[in-house]
Amino acid sequence: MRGIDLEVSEGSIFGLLGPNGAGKTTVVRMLTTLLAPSGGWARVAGLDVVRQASAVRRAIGAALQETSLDPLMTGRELIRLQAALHGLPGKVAKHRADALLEQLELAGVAAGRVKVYSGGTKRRLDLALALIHQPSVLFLDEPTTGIDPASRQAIWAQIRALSQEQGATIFLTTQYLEEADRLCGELAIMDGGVIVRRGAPEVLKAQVDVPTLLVTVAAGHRERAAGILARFGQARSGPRGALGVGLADGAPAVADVVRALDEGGVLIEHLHLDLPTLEDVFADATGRQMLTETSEEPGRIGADILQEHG
Amino acid sequence: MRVAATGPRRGVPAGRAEVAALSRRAVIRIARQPSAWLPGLLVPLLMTAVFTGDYGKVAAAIGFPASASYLHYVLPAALLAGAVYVGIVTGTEATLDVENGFISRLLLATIWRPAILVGPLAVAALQAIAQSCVLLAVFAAFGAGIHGGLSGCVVILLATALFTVAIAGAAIALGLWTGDSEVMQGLFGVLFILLFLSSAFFPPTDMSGWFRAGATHSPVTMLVDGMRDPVLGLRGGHGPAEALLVAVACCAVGIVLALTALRGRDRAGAA
Repeated sequence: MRGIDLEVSEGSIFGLLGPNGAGKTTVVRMLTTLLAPSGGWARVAGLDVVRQASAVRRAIGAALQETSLDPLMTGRELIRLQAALHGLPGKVAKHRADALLEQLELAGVAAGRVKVYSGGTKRRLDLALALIHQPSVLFLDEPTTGIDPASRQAIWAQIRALSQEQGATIFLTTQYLEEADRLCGELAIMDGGVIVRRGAPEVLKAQVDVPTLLVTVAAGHRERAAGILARFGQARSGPRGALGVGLADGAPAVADVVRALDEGGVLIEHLHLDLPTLEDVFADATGRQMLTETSEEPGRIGADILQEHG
Repeated sequence: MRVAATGPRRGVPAGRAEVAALSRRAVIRIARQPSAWLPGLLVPLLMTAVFTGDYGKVAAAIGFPASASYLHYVLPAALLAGAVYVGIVTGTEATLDVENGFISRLLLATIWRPAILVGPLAVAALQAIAQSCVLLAVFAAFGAGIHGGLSGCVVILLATALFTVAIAGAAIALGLWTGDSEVMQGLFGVLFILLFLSSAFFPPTDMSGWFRAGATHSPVTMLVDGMRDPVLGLRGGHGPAEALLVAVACCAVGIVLALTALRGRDRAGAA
């Protein structure tokens, strides 16, 4: 770690994004008191992670990367064990366990041993265990790594609900750009043990580039279209004969462009809006692409707006 | 983030519930893994069968009473071999907790730290006692009863339980330090060599050279001889009090090692 400086607002979802080996887990282990910082200081829930480690542990919940679940126990046994470890009385523990198992859609599998659970179910159980003592701050270390897209969506929904309905502060690490983009109100991009960018995803993306609008027009309309597009920003090259323009006023200018082309008598065949991504932010900050274990999301986020316009 | 922490500070009273919860977990894990308890019964019995066949005449050679046999002689060794197995299994369980991250879950809870050790160690002691009772019954069925009666049985079981905690404590320490379950296999081998390098299976008087010197002065010999005293009902080189003393000393060392290793794992420490 070198010069990590972060502040997370209460009740927000904060993401620490970076490739494998960036140092994300080390940060989490320090903030959750599992690893002593080699220097500097950190406070979680207003408490010093070294001098008030025990109080920090009472205030936080953590679902760590290892999916630290006992494969020989059942989900219900594990959640009751976790409740006992946090000193919850029997009745309270049972009530909360039942509620969490229901909320995280685990009630149907809770009587089975963890070793037969799917990856997504294990992650949801891990989340339930982290929530049993109703922590005010929740640490999620790569909560969806290695699980299928449907389970990933389900966990995203749970994380959003936790933040919106219970007001929990959520600190998550991820190597998935899409996850950070969709979940986090603010994020920091980490690489090689340092924070290279920090801010709201939309702001970070806007700092890197403007959206590119790609327009394919009918034969004979190309020159006229290029003249109109030039009014909205700098011309850019497009694939397969498409005209490109970097929209100086951002994505909302698309409507104005379409209107101007229409008024200019240009026959539009295809419109595509190419938005800057966190991948672009990472590349801009580090000078290289971010490689993840599984890259399910496209390199760029694009939207086909119009296929045929007659 | 500025949110007040909630909940009481945890101490020894709360630790009782935590010990109970972690003991329950240890029992569940043992019950659901036959490999965690079956070899602890079978290995001592198989060893006994082999050695009894080979060295059955040793009893006469070292002047046992007519009512005693080599089966009597080797009984403490069988119990301690079973204890070694239980101790290694307990250490392996702790190592697996490190390998799969369960130890982080325990350290993240605001539990009374020694509860992490007390639960598994208590279950190991109880497992060793239960296992020893079965072995004693099998030995008795084959004519090797305890001459020292009920009090003799209590001494033997107590020494075995303490020795188990000693081995389990050392194994847990090694597991917490290394986080590598393969190390347990090495420890298992070393402990069996220590068992052989004592009076457990053969009288040191029948040994020679450095092996004899090592076996004569081994604390395991003190333990085994002291346990053998109530088995045979005759006074040997070391009595039951010495056996219990050695067992308590080993137990203390094992517990200190485990606590030290746990403190090392819990780097940030409980403030």
